[in-house]
Amino acid sequence: LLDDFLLNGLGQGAIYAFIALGYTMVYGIIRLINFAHGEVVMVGAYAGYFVLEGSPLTGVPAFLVAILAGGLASGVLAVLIERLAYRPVRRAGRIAALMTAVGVSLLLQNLALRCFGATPRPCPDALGLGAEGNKLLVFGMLVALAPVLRWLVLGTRTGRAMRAVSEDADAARLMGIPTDRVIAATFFLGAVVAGVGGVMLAATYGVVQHDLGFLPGMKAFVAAVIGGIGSIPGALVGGLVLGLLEALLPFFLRSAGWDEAFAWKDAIAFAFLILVLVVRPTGLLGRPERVKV
Amino acid sequence: VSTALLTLAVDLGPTGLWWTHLLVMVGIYAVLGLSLNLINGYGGMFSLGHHGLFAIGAYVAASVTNAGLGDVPGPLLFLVSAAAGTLAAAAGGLAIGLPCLRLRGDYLAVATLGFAEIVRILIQNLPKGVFGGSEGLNVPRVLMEVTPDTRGDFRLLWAALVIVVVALTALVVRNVVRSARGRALLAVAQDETAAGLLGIDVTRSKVMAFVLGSAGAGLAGALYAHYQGKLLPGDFEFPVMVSILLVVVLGGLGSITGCIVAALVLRYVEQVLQLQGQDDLPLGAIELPAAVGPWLREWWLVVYALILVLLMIFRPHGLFGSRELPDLLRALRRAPRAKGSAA
Repeated sequence: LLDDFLLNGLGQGAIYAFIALGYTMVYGIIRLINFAHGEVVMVGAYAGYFVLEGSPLTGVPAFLVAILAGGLASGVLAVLIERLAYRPVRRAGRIAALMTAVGVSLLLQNLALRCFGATPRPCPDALGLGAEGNKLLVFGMLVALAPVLRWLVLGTRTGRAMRAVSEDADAARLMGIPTDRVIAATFFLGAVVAGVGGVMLAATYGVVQHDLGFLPGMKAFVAAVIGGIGSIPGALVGGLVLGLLEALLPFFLRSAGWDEAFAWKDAIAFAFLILVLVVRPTGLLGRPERVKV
Repeated sequence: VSTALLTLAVDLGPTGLWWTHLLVMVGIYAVLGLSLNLINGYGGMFSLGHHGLFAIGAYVAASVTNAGLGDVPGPLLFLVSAAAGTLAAAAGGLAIGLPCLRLRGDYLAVATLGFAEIVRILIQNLPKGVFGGSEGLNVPRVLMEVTPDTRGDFRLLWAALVIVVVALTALVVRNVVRSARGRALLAVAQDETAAGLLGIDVTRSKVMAFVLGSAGAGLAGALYAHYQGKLLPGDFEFPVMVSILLVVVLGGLGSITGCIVAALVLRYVEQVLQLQGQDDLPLGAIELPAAVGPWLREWWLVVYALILVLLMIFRPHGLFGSRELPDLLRALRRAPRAKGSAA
């Protein structure tokens, strides 16, 4: 029985990690909580759903094309959001940027509500793995993704440029790094990963709906904070920690005699967020940010 | 048990009923906006948990009303429950503010949003006897029974009540901002480190603003509970937060009259849109052309979000900025003359 919960925790945690990566990369580079990230996930999930539902493909090819479509749709959307909404307010201060992000989130969610309707749509399970199999799969995908990401950020020119912009955007620009393009690339990369997470989210739970990204998005943010926002390994660790915590803590609480523990798992996650923020705002793997006068 | 103060049985007609209802909703959102302005505008913090504090005020006021029903005279019970809702929200603000206000802007936003989510889950998941769960919680009428005969009286009473509350809230915000503590708060909002070096107790300033703002949200919640007569957990979800935020942003971060005007404009648009496509609109409710009206009614939330985004891009400090309505009028009157003298 504990195995089931462990698997649940790892699968859910891997999905959180997929989404958290985008949060942490964007935060790392422009210090913005991309509030619309959950909606980017939702759009990716819908793109995957339309491929699975509408294309003649079946089985593994259908799954691969859905993953690709989900990632691409999310990536393109994130670049558009960055170009049209975030870039104009980048110099207007963090609160203006954050409010813009809240607005974009609401915009996308309601746009999806109007375009796709309020009723959740059943999403086909292309590989026929069932919820359990998909959880195992998404965890496996995360394990495979980690070295790729590491190479992208540490081993490529773009990755080096990203780290430079994250360190000091103005200095990076003076060194001839096209900061705008690097920031757009960061949004794209984070959103592609998140879109894949969105397709897996839809596959695991078997439904797509307009607000599918909101709560997982917020939870993934919690995961990013737990791991230390701005840190890529932190997002992976934080996602898994949060997933396991959400699955195992209610399990133990229920064993201890509290029958309704599972209805409270969201509250547990947010209480944990507040706890982490209070005790260690930089998270498990984050660097403290210096306050300059 | 009729606890009505007086029964005039005024017939307001559809126009009067519509306008008084609009006025009450404007008032509730003005109080929410003014109190959030203390936190997000003057205080330079960024809270996304105002809807949670609004919910605390509403549910605590409703519970107190239910508990005291029959034993306490209606008007007294109303006052006591409103005070309880206000205090409970202030306590909630203190509970979340003390640990979290050390956090910088965006962390605070997420911590407060998490807090509001916890409040919502609490209301929904606690046993039905506590806050009614997802079936909702009834709030007995203690000021006046609402029957078809007294509907006009009820709305008039509430419109008057809400105007008084908004005026008092505006006065409190103005006085707080002008006081020594308020000026300290403005300094903290500008530059925390510099304010701290000048000897201002940064945390204390922020906590004061946050707790006062929370109390305002609680007061608005208590008004909402008594006016609506029934509370549902869905009334306090994230879109409500965005509505409050839009009141503050549209009006201007740090403008009292701006907040009130923005609440008026936004509620008016929302109420008018709900009427589109119907016959016999109340007097003063603009009827949009048939091609636009129903469409806009459907797509309103999309347009609403778009307004927020465009506003942040083109006027990040809101329409009024930190100015007040009289300042703006004076500036408008002076503008042509200034041009003349320059030439």
